[in-house]
Amino acid sequence: MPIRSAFGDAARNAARDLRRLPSQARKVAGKEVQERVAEPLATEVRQAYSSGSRMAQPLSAQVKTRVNAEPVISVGGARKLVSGGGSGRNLVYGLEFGSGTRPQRAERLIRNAARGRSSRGGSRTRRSTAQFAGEGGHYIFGTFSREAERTYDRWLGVLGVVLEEWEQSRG
Amino acid sequence: MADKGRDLTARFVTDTDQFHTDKAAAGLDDVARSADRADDNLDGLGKGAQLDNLARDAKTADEALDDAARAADKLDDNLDDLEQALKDAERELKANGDASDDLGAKLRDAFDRAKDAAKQAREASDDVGDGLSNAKDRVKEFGAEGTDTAREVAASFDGSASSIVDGFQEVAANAAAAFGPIGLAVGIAAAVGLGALRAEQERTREETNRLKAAIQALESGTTDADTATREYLDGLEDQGKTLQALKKDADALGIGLDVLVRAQAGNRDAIDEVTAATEAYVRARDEQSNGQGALGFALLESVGQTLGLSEATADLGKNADAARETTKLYQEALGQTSETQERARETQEAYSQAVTDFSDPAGAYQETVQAMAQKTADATKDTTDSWEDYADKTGASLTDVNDTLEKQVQAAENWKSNMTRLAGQVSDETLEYLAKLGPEGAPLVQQLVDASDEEMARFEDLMKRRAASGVDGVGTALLDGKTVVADAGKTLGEEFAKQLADSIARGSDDAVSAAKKIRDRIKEVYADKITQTVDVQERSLIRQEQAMALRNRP
Repeated sequence: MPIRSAFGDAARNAARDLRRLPSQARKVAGKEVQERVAEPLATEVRQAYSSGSRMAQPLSAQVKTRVNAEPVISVGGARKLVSGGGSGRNLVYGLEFGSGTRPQRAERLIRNAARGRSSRGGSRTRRSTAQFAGEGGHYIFGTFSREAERTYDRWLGVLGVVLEEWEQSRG
Repeated sequence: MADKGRDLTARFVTDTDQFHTDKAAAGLDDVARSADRADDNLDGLGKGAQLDNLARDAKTADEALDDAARAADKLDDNLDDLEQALKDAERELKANGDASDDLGAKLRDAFDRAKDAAKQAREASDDVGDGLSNAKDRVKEFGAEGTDTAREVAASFDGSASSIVDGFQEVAANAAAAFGPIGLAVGIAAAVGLGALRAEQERTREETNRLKAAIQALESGTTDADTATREYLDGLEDQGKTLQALKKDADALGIGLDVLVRAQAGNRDAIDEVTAATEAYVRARDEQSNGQGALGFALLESVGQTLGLSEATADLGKNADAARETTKLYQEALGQTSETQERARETQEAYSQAVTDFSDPAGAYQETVQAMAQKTADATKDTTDSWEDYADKTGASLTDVNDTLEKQVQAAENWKSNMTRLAGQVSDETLEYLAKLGPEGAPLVQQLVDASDEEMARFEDLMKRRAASGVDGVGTALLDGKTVVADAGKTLGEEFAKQLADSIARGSDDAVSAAKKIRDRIKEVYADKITQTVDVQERSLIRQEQAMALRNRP
């Protein structure tokens, strides 16, 4: 069993237990974590999209964070981002994972957009969007990986302080 | 355009498996890159034949490391494959006549141990999860009304000692009885699990850095390699010493090493088992010699210190921070809630007194009656008669009972030394079985020590057949019966126990069903007490809920 699995188990357990915190503490922790941990991480993801491929660049403005006790980043949006009509949601899955149900849809939209055609029509012969991913690819999880150590340190530190303060405020 | 999809939501903690957190592969990449640079430098300098050779050697090592890095990259962070890659590297070094043969072997050995540490870390992580699950089960026992409050309270603590004292003061008296003091601390510490996460993160990082240093040293091919590897191996050697110390403690307590290690990792069941074994040991020592109770407490203290071996625990790949925190909490809880614990202990002792005592007069009386009845039966002309047919007609004098008691006490006194002597003579399974029996199995242990080699071999053989035939369940049922008889002797009076013994002796009912009757009787007797306890728990939880509501009021 790889080390990663043990770490993954510990991480999932911690995330699950965080959801069981009293709601008041969860709200406080959520705001702090969003501001101090998720936002810096989102900035890195935005940077990755900005320096990515032509189709990735519009997504840099679509990166958002959420109020949550664990750092959560959301990328997508229904707004049209490319000339063919592709939205952030159409682009993000293909750019992140490369193929599958959603990437197929995104790929078609992207390809048609590149050819200046309507978003409808066209064949489905090509399923991969790897050519749009730029040299790095995996913009979100690649960034997570690069920033993992620093982000975990920051997250655990912030959470420790928040829980301590919350406990003191009760007493 | 209609857009029915959803945004991609990435959770940094929950989705950890989606990205790399194990730096071993990345570390190897770094090594490969540094080897590249070293190789370039050597090529640039390699004007003389000697330097050329050196460069070639370095390049070969570099290629081997590249292979390792590629293998690691390809299969992500699977340690098994990393090990194979290292073997390849070692083979390459050997093929080039490098002087690092020994070093390669050491590194491979070190890697084996690192793999074991990773496995143990996973088990520790599982244990923490188990501990949480058990803690939740215990919380449910508090009663339907208080369950939600208790769970919320348990989840709301960050694991610090002050939070236990502040939040659980009201319910501590009852909670301690249900969880045990260590269980209480562990359950709460595990509730959030941050300690486990941090420890796992730090452990992974340390392990990676050490591995990386060792591999880099191997790549450089200098004396630094020996130094780095030795440092890494020294760390592992400390683990060995710690293991030896743990094994010694585990042997003294008559429990498995795995139980003690799990207890270190914070497993509540294991901690309960260690606590019970320690108490049993202390009690046995006290019985053996008045005034020597201090020895037992010294052992208890020793076990407490063992539980606090945070540094060693980290090296073992265990949940170091959680163990350290647990020990700290336990120690603080010992000081701050001693009164609570004392009450809990008294309650627990009241319930388990009969079970834990070995030399019970009722049991001795029963045994004597059976022995004498059997003796009578032996003397009759009908060899098919058993002692049960004559038990009613047989009486036992106080002298006979005293003799039997004396034998039991003698056997109990010799129990520990006998167990030690048996350790080298019987299989681990048999030893484990005897240890499970505890001081109650002292007469059997004594007989085994006195047995001839042939008898011993037969016993071993029978134990194996017993294990194979799955008679454990039957044995447990009978043991339950015996325990209940002892219970009855202590709690309901010797007269009642005598009736039970007579009932068994008459053969009017089998031992197990008779025992069940007695158990029901005990339940009846204690029903009021149990109800009162639950009421107190519920009231405490309600008060706790009200107090929390007041605190949380804006």
